[in-house]
Amino acid sequence: MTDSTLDSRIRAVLAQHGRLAQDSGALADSADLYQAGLTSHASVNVMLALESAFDIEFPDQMLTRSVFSSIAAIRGALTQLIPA
Amino acid sequence: MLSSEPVFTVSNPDNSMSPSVRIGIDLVQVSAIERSLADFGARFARRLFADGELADSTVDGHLDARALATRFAAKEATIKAFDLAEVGVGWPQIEVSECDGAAARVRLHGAAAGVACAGVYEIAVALSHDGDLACAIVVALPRAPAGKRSMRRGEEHAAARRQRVRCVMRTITSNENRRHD
Repeated sequence: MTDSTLDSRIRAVLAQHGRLAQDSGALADSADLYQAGLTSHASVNVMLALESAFDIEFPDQMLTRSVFSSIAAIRGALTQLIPA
Repeated sequence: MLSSEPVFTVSNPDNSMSPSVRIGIDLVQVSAIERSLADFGARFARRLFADGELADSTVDGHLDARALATRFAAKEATIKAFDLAEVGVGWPQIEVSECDGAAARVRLHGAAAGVACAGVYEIAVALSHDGDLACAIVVALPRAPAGKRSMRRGEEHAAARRQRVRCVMRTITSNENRRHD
């Protein structure tokens, strides 16, 4: 899966479940999602939606604030979890 | 939702090396939890709550969103109090019991217990809800070291002994006065 495909799917999940104050499509890769309005509860929804979208499971050790802090960070985590 | 940064750490007033008081707070929308249950169903519940929590949050065969919201707020408040956001802790490791009626309690398991040095702290939690909002405040107080605890108990025994001696002395004095009268 290309980075741009991954990005667009992450942005779609954020748009549906992130409850962000900004359009997820317009966010920079490195923009702080918590500053953009992501709450701890919304980050749970994002995590569950990403798991469904990519058929993966985030292990406990990846359930950290920083993993969901930006689109780039989420992409980095997904790259580790999605089978090549 | 308020900032999810660790909230307050109050320095120990005697400036010793013992652990500080730790405080965390969180606010959750009950309707948002209802939406999560609708969107993700049992997977949402299983991912966040331990079996006992789910059993305690079930009313007439259905998960009660308000009970889950207060528990989730308590879990997040605990994460803030102990600065666990970067540790990688599964939410069921922070177990919140007795939400209704009796005082709520937080029990830590697994990595959460280890990192938070659960044995070092007494954890107190207060839960509240009003309309669509559920709130939790967690306060962790350092336990007194075993030596200090036994010293305190020793001091209490000594004070009680002194009190008994004073009572006996007053009785003796009173009896002596009566004899002189």
